[in-house]
Amino acid sequence: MKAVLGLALGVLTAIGGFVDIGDLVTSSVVGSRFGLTLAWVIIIGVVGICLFAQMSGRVAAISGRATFEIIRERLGARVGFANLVASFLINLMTLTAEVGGIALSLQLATSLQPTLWIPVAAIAVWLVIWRVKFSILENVTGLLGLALIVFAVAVFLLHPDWQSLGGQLLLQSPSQGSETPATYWYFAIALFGSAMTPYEVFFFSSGAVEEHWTRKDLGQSRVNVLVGFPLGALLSIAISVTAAIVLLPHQIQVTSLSQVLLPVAQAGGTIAAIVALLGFVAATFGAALETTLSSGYSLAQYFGWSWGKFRRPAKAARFHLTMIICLVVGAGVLLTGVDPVQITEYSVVFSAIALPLTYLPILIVANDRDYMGDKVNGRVTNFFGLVFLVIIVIASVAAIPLMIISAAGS
Amino acid sequence: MSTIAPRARGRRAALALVLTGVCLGTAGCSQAYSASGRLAQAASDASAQTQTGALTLRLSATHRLPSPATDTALSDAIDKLGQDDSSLTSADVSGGLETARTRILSKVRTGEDLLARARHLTEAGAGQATTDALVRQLQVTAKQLAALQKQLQGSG
Amino acid sequence: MTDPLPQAPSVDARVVDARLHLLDRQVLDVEGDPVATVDDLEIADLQYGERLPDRPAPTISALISGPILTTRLFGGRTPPGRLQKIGWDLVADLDIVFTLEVKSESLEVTWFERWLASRVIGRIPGGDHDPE
Repeated sequence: MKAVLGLALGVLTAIGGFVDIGDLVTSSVVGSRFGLTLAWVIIIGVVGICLFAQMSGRVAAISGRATFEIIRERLGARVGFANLVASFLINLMTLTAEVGGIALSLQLATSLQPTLWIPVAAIAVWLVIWRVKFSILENVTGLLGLALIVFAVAVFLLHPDWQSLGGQLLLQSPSQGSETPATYWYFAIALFGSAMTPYEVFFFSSGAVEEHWTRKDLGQSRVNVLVGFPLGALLSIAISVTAAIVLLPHQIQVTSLSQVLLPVAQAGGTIAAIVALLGFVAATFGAALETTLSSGYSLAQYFGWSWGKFRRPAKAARFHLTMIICLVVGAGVLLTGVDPVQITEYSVVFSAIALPLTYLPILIVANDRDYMGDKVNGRVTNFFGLVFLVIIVIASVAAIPLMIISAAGS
Repeated sequence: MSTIAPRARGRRAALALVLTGVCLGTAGCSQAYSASGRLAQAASDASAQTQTGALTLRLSATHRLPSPATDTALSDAIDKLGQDDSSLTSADVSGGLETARTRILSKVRTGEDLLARARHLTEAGAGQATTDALVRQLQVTAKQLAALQKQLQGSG
Repeated sequence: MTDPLPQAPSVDARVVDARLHLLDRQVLDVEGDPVATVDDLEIADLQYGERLPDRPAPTISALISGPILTTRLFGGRTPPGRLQKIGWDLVADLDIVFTLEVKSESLEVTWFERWLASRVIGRIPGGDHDPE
């Protein structure tokens, strides 16, 4: 019984933890501009993140090595360092977006200015990291994030024309209204980056070490990932669908978080809107915790510092100092008045650009018997691993040219 | 005593850092490129914001949206319209486009006025008829803006 | 020209490549806590051009960590006085990580960690408690 509960908890947490500010904003923007013609990208992205997270979790559980230790061991100090700089900056950008997302969500709930909420959000994130146990932090935000299921309910309440929605899924016409092919593919990469954010991998593999996973826990982790993430991606698709049903016909291109909420309010009224807001706060707060921890994980693992929430803060001093500095920087950037939604839009694209940097070393080590013993990748995993390597490299290389041609999707 | 690790030649590592910086910087530099493209962009965004205002007002009037969310959605739309306003005002346009700019700008300002009224209405509370009229006005303005955007794209 | 390399020893030992298997590896202390990453290795002196068969093979005398990393990244030399070393005699085990036979607190390489812990992080309320 206890085992079943544990399994269910893991899966639910994975579902609720899947969506972050990147998914909220990007799915909604894409739904409001392209309908469902880009939904296929979310599906590819979720297969990719399942493969990748499962692989990095397995490496962490078997070898006890987390992602950035491996990146440095495999790529050497110099290439590893360039990798660290890029990954760290992009993670910092995502962290800033998530903290901004908390502030925007709280503004929607209270109508108080986000500038008031930014320091509150940053301090709350720090306090939780400082004092709360890893498993509690992960489970609570994951479970509250399940409130976003209200988007899936909203899809049904809106009584859409299923046939035309289905038609959009199959009809891959890049010429939606006034959108150009470059814009279409630019958002395809953004959506891919939002589904496969690299911080999820730092977090997943470091989390495996935090929770002292061993060989025994691999089954559970596989179920969490293979069941939880696809269901989480369904929420992402549901957000897209609600925007496609309500906002697309009015040609409302999403540019703010408040617009993401409107379709739910139309479908289910005040109660649904409040539940969705709870989901926004939980999703952004959970992701802010994960990105903050990831900033500490990546730096500490590269330099070999003591790290981890399972240690008391004084036993991992540089790790905790890194996280404090990152939160201060993120909050400082937000207080200059930049729009968190815009930071989010760029952060998902840069995530896509940086993906090969983390993906390749994991793929290599997952095949190394020194680390993995008999648990190296099987043929099927390696086949998909290589297919995704190609996809990831293409997306990464195409991102910057597409960004310039499409003027960042405007 | 000697050590075994390979040493950097300096330049290449610095180059890698600079490249990373350039990649991140590209984000800031990408803009819509032609003058007519920028005007069309502003018109289409203003149309979307005005439609958002209409939708928000409708949801608020039927008690479907909590009031803090209504307030936030309207003020977001007003802020964004203000940005369109200032980008239009500062846009460097020549001869033929000047008329287009003036027409778009006047519609954007209409939208700003209507949204300010909408915000006032939702705070003070108003009758069904007033709200419906305002929603219709917002929708009309949005359609006019969308039409102006189409014209620009057709000509440009 | 004769092969300068002697026959590989046929003893029951493991051959490791210093750059591949030793550099950039994590070092753990006797309790399994991370200490540092191996940024470089110090080897007993060997003159350039000196032929190996004329003298005993060089041995690793210490693991080096800390400021020397910047010279690997950007070039240059670290003054010998600023090298933070962990003597090879403290190494207990070598797997995919190094394990030492002492606690990390007793090592010079962790002075900044200890300084931060006692002066900054440990002074913030809750810094010295286990997470709840």
